[in-house]
Amino acid sequence: MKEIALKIGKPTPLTAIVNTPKQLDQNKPAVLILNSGVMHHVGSCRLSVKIARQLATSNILSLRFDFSGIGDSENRSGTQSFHETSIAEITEVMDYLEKKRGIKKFIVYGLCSGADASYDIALVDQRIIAMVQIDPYVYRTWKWYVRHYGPKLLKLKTWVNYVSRRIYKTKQPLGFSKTVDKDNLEIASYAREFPKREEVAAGMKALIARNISMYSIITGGQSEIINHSSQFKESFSDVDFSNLLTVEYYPKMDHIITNPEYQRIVIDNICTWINQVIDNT
Amino acid sequence: MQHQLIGPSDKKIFVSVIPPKRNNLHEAVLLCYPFGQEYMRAHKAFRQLANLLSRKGYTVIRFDYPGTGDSYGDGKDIGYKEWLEQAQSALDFLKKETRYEDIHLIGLRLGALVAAELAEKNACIKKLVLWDPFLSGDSFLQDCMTQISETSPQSNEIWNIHGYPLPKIFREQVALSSIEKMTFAETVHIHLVLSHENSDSKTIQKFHEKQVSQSIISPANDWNYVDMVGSILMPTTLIQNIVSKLAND
Repeated sequence: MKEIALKIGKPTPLTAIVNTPKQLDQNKPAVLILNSGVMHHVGSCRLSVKIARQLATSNILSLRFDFSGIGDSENRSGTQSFHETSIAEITEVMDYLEKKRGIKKFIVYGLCSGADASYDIALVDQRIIAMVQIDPYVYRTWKWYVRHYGPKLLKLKTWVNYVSRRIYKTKQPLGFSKTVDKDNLEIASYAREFPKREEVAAGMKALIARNISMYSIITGGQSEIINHSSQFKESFSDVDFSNLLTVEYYPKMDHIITNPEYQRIVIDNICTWINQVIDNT
Repeated sequence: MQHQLIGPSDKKIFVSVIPPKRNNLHEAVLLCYPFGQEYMRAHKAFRQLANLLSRKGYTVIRFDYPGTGDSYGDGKDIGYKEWLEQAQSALDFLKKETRYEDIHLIGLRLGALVAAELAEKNACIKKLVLWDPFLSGDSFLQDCMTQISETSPQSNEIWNIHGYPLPKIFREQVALSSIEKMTFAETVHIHLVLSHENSDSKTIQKFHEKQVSQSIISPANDWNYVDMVGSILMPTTLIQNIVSKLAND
């Protein structure tokens, strides 16, 4: 494995780390590893580094980079939204790898906002052949409500609390904690908002039509939206994923994957899945 | 800003070199990161700090300890001694790159303990900034124990601190380190930058009274804050204080 730091783009370059395997096959897709929120290219609990290094053992080139304004990449001037700049910057990185390394196909990986950016770029760039998403867009279904509220409705404590709240009109504090100085708050450039379900379903259909493989890992960190393993497919019941979608649901895994056993499972499964996709292309 | 991996092929460490924006100072600063989630949360603040120092004319280096960030190795196999060895490598690299005689260290939390170890052993160090420091490895481990989720962490070979491994070898080695026991050259000026004063900072004050000055900038600038959407708190006032202390003292 050869790992080097790169600067990509002008006049304000993006900082990237490219892992080049010992035997580079230009016909193999490269894997692009995207930022999650404001976390730099190392990734949550170093997950991005570990995935990149494990992929290198399978002779797969990967590139981790920081979007402008995140991690080690400077801000770029302009008024574009994160949605627009992320697409432009991933495109820039793919152009670079195509020009410098001759790679023409790509797999994108991202967690949370990185998952959203993966979906966005897959929609518009024909070079993307697969995407791996941790906690992608997903939507509540009637089964979610039954599972979420059903057990609570049967508990006496729930009703006692409800009545107490009605009587004392207890207000939950909203917004920032009092101890947080708003003037110094570095707001994430990306506030996660889910598009309308129909919009994402249409997007999924477009990706399926292009034969794009998808691997979705869902954590317990999204329990306010998803609470059972079949929900992801059920929330897109109007999409025929054929055999292109793999979904794994880990209700006990947290959103930033702090448990070392889950870290190992996620890294192994992602690398295995990517290898299978590459073998099949 | 230049990033590179330095050192032997199996033990490379990731360094970021931020050259000075003005060339009148001929002094350099090495920044020492904290551990685990604190490292992730402080990354942006360290970048900001490095940029401000660079504007003042300092050459700045940030680096990742072995088994952390972009450096080689897996945290579950790495001891505190390796952290110190590679921190020394980063300092040697900085000295070689710049050939400056005046070098300063800034360390945050566990990074403050690392910086203090370097300051004790290297005559080139002139100023040592300890930002919310742990007094000792024991103090760091006690803090970790409050964060650990598993019961009876003492029996575990590797503690898991919010997703970051802390192996037995690291714990055993860091437990031997204490700023209280260190002796610094009289020429070293130590500056404590604190979000909150605590028993650790008071002990450092007490034991190194003649060399220590202190700034307390609280309570608003909680650099260790992160919210649900990943917004972080940029401790601007605190960073500016560090820069002005280094530049003006």
